[in-house]
Amino acid sequence: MKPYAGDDDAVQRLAAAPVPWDEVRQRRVLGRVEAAMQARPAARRRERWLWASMAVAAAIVLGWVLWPGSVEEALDVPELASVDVEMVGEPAIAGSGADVEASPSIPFVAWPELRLPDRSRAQLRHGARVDVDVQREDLVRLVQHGGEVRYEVTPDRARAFVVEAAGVEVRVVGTIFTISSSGSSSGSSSGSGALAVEPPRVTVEVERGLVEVDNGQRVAELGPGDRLSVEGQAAGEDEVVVLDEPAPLPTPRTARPATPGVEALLADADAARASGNLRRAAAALYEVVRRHSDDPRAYGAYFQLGKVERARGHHVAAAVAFVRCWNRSPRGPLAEDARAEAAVAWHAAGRDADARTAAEGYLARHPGGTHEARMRSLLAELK
Amino acid sequence: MVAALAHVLPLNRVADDDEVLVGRVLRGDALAFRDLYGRHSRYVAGVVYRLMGDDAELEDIVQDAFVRAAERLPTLREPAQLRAWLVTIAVRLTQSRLLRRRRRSWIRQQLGRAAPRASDPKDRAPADELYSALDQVPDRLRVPWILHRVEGFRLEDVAASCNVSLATVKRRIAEAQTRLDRRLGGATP
Repeated sequence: MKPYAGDDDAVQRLAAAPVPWDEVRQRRVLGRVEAAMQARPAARRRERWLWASMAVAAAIVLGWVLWPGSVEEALDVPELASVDVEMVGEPAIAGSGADVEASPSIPFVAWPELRLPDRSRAQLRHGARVDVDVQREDLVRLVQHGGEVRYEVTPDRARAFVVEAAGVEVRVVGTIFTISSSGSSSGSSSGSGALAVEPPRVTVEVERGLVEVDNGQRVAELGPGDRLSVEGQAAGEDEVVVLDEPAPLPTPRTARPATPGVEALLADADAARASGNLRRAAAALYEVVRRHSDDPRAYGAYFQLGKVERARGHHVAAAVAFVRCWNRSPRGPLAEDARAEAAVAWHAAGRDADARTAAEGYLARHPGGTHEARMRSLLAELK
Repeated sequence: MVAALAHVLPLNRVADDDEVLVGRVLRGDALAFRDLYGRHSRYVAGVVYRLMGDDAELEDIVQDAFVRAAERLPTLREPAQLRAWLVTIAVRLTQSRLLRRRRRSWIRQQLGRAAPRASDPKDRAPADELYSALDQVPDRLRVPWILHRVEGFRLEDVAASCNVSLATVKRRIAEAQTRLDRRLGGATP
């Protein structure tokens, strides 16, 4: 008996498996919850008292240090000799007692910088690209595509700061660190035409603070001065397609092995998309769906292909790819998106009847779905 | 035992809806909190159990989830969405426990690990095999997959629970599906 064939059978059985949660257990946990809730105010009072004591102690020490004459009296520090100070850019502070001259500016590479509202900064080097995935009060999540990025994160205990690079997650509180991502799916295409079959590598270097690096298999904590290089994963479905850059000249295919595998083709497609070479990306994806149609990854490849073809302006080909994606698995995780995108692509191709069918099919299958408003407005336009 | 405690906590009694209960809890009504707990704890425990794969830390997570919920209840904007909110808290706690577990994975390897069992013996093999395949999938892919496919959560809710965007959650579910298919020999996702 085949245990699992992509249908819902095993999933439903798993969902129906009994949960070891009886009334006795339920009451026991309730008792613990109520006890914890009663203990909370006392614990909080202790915590506040501790913080208040520490604040008072810090204020006393600070007052002692800053009180005029106190340091000299206490430590008998000799008068400081004259100090040569060099500053770049900023003028001298009036009355500081030091003769300051601005030194000539030093040529440097001005890397583009991403500034977040909480004053955290990301300096994008060597063709790096960073997308803001989530930005909320309690979470900032960035996705780095290739290159090298130096992050300077403003400390904030209430907000998690996460960077994902090639499937590797780096979690921080407040720190300075650099992530370099290189390899097949990082967006740093070699442009040689050869398939990059090596998995991407992500290197994390910490200057200050602590970070946690998670590549899905292992988690490591890094401190100041630590450097870690881990293997990343292939890029996902939702890569942003670069439309503005002109596509490089097509590279000769002679360097390609006779029968490239799915992994290599998908990596090639990712690299090509990231570098803006949509023609090559489409060719690699067509290879996946033609040569490896039995591979489960062909499902996602159809969806990617639809996006690439749409970006190339080939709307009929895009619609066909989205429809095939949907046909392969009408209940799969990309099904809802595929049907909506197919409707949009048919409309763009001028095939209104197909667009209407797809949009109506979407609304019937996904009432209240993510693209409901989009489909309704498309149907209104078609009337 | 249960009968003896029935006067203390009638777990299954019909209570007000969530909005009313939340209002009463915020006014300091301890009984309302019990009603709220009685109504949602089993569901929360089920989600946690399926995410964890065993019940070793089940009580701790459910306890922490309700304690945290009680503390943060004044910040709940939509009381009607209480269940989804509770699950989000529980899922985040579960994820941090899973993370801690992985750090101590050598202990887990030594002690072995129990997976949830389907009740009917003839149903056991597929569910167990699926679970052992899921066990090989990294948490960041496994958790959204279970929430969406097993628990039936909407993708938007899964994204909120996992603290990632909708696009990321879709990508992760698709990736988890691909890995499961590869391991279990499924033809299509």
